[in-house]
Amino acid sequence: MKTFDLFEDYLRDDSFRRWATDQGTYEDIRFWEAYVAEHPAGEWQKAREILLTLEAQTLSPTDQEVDQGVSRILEDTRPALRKWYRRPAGIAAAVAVMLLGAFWFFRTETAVPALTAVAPTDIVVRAGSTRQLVLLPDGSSVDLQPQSSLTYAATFSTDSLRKVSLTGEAFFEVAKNPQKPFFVYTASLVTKVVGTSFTVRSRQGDARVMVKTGKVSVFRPREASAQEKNTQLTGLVLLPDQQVILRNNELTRSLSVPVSLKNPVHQQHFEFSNAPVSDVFATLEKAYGVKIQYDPVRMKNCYLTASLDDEPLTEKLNLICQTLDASFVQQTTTRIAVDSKGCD
Amino acid sequence: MPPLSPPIPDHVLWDRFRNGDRMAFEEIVSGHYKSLFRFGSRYTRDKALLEDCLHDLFVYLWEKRRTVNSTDSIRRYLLTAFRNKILLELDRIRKRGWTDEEAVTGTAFEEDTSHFAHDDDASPKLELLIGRLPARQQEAIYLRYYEGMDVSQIAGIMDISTQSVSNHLHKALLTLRQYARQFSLWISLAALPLFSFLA
Repeated sequence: MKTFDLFEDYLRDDSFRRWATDQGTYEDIRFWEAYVAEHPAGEWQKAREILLTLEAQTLSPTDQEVDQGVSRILEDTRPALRKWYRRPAGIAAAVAVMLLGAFWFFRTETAVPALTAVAPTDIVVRAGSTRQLVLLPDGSSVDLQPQSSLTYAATFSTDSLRKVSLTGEAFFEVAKNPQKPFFVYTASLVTKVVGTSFTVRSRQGDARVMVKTGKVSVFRPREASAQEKNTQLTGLVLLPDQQVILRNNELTRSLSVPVSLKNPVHQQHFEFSNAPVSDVFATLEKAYGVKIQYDPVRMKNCYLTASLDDEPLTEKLNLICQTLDASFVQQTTTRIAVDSKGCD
Repeated sequence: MPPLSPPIPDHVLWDRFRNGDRMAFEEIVSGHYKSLFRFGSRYTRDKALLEDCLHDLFVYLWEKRRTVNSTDSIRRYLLTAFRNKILLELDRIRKRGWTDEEAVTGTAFEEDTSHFAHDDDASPKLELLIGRLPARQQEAIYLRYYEGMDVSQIAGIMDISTQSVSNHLHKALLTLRQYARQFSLWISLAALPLFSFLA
């Protein structure tokens, strides 16, 4: 147990410094809030005051300035191959949640997250060199990025909780169901949502979660069993355009997401205002990497006004088809057929 | 509960970056950008200049990654490189014969108090006290307590001996201790009427 006496003792403590300057990890905050409740007055106040004064004597860049600065550096050093990551001009800043799973040992030791025992009844989807769309039984959609795999139970739709586990990276759009929270497990982090969109990326290097819409809570696997017992979003809660990074085994929240870390679906805004249905389908095709088959002649007078940022692909298609009095069938994982009588 | 994963040691992350690992580089840039910017603002309050220096530093490091030295403290490495970069830039600006007053604030913070926003906790007195410390003492306590560097790391960053760093820290702490004593006194005085009321 740490002992603190003089204000210098607090100043020398990494965890205290992070907490006092508002950069605390989940663990720091929990520890120091309890500590302060126990010691309402003490030398820690002086230490905190000194730190805040030192901080006030510097200029802090805004989150946006950090974002821009980091993006500029990454773009100016980016190898040509990665250029598709750049965001298309004219698209407003998207909000995205991304989890970069960061474990060096991970790649060599095991390809399966620690908490996932692969039972024979588990369904495993692997994306090789190209991304792959996975439509889950509950209507949620998962854009599985290359070199990634997603595992879920065959009993997914009847289980009391929705649970998937991931290695690599994926963008999730989770169908809303407050009674059945949706959990994404990686070796290092667990993300819990009720209905929202976000990316989970679990690759060697580091771990990070970024939120596009709605809100999610993120915690370490050891807290998972407690979290599975309730439907509340507690713990470290992230809002749109916030991210959490796992660094040195601790969770750190930051209030912005570098644009360069958002992949195409996160960047895409699904806002349509009196848009021809051909544009709408083209946007969906591009964002999800699917082919949508429809009769362009019959549907040439179909226009759509909708805001579909918060829905999974299946739900988007449902809403579009309801609006246009059409129906759709998923033929393969990447091919969807839309049937419509037209909009005359 | 044992930790679920070992922390990534700095030298491993740095070596991955030196081998051209983009993820490692992105992690380093996004992990240190804000604190470097903050540190740099001790030397200049020109945000555009700070951004340019950071940009050029990281682009340079990426381009020269194969010849960059190894390090066991990425933060110390970056603080040192960034400090040198800024001082060099400021020197260049001065030598150009004209001075952008916004860009160069040689003696840190004594005059400028407009940025002390919303400090319920920090009384103006402490600001003045720290602001009046010699610039090197301010730099040393910032690196020691805000950045968490140890004495030998600070010596490397400031390019002075460890003995000098210890001296700077010692003197700064003496001043702060005096302040802390007043602070305690002030707290107990403030609490006095309350206690007499309760009694």
